[in-house]
Amino acid sequence: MKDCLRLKEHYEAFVLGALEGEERAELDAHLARGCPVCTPGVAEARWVVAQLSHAAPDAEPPAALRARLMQRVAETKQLSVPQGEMSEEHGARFTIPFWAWAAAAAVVLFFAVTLWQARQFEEQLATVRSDYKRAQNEKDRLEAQRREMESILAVVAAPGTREVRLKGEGQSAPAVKAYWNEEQGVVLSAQKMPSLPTGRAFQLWVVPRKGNPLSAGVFQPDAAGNLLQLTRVEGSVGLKDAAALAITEEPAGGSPQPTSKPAWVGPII
Amino acid sequence: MFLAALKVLGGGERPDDAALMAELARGEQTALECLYDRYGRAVFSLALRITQHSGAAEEIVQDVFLQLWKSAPLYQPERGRLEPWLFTIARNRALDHLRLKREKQRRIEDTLEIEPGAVAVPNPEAYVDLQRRSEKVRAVVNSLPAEERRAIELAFFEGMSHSEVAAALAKPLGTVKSWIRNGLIRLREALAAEEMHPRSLGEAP
Repeated sequence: MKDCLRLKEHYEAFVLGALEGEERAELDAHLARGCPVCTPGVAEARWVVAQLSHAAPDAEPPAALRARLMQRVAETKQLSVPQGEMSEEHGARFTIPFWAWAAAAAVVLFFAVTLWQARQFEEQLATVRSDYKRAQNEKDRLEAQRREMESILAVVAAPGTREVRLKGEGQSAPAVKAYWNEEQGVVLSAQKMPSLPTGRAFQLWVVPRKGNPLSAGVFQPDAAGNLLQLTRVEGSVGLKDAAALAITEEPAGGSPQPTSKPAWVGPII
Repeated sequence: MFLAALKVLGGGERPDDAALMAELARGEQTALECLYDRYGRAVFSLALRITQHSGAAEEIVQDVFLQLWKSAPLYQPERGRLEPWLFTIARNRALDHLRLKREKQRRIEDTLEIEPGAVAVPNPEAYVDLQRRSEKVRAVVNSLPAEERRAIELAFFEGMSHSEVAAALAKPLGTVKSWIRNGLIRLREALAAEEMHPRSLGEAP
């Protein structure tokens, strides 16, 4: 571009054929590579230089020249337009062959199918992803369950664990078994537990020989009334200090002290 | 067909170069006659000025117009481009003739390589009348200082390079270069100014 600005002043001399040396070689190179500045610049310079033709002294060509020229013209065939360069002006109509339409249609169809397949694949991928997520959640849930079961089994099987049997008030209430390990907590196990009103939960209490009951966790049986849960005793109360375990019905979050009569009681012998 | 084209352009108006080239492309010999009547004299004058030989000049004129006839179907008729193209081809052929005569085989350009598009009219829509432009060119060239004009004439009509002109005029190379450049810039500007008044061939009285 900077070179072109410098070469600009040589366009006319170049067209004249007067330009020499490096400048001419440089401009030749620009034109050879179709320089977008110099090519039109030189074309315009050709016009300016061609105008110098008018400076030639006026001379009348011999009348015979015209006749001679037309004679030659009559004998000379014009060049034919190459097929590719046919323009509309010459009446040539460019027709698209059938195979081209077919090829174009095939290309369009190919892209349509590819696009459709890509959409399908994307949908499938989304399904697989959500399935995977669900499976992952399920796996996590089962894993957590397995760990809980392991700790429950560990508590039940541990050497220092004491089994306490809690008897329910009333004939229909099932027995609840508690396995208390001083280090690992209390496992509660029962079947056919009565269902609780919404917003209510069962709370396990350790009833010491002296003082107020200590909470040992809040729990809810599952929908079928099954209970198998590990809870922890708050505070440091040992088996030897405890008189009994009791279960009361409390608000869902649990209470600091029992607010109802115990539904299950199991003395520690 | 040619008469039809004339009719389309309106009574009394001369068909422009583009219309004639379109006719020529269809093989209408009368279109070539029209173009010869329009430009033959100027092309002959140029060829004669360069070759200084009327036989050679006639030969060149015939070659140039025969070339125009042959290549007309390939020509993209764009208004105003024909005349400078004719001059460019004629000058190159005439200079080739000079060089052959001087037994100098060096060619600046292959005459047949120049396409019409390689000669661009700055503003084809405002292409002034041939006669007016011819007078303008003469006026500008005559207004140049004698040495400057001589340098341009040597370059244009004799096909001399910068250094050849410098040697012929016994002037420093740099001086000759700026003389030629200045003269051509003045010509370009004068013609550009002239084209500020757009007119068509049809408006000629």
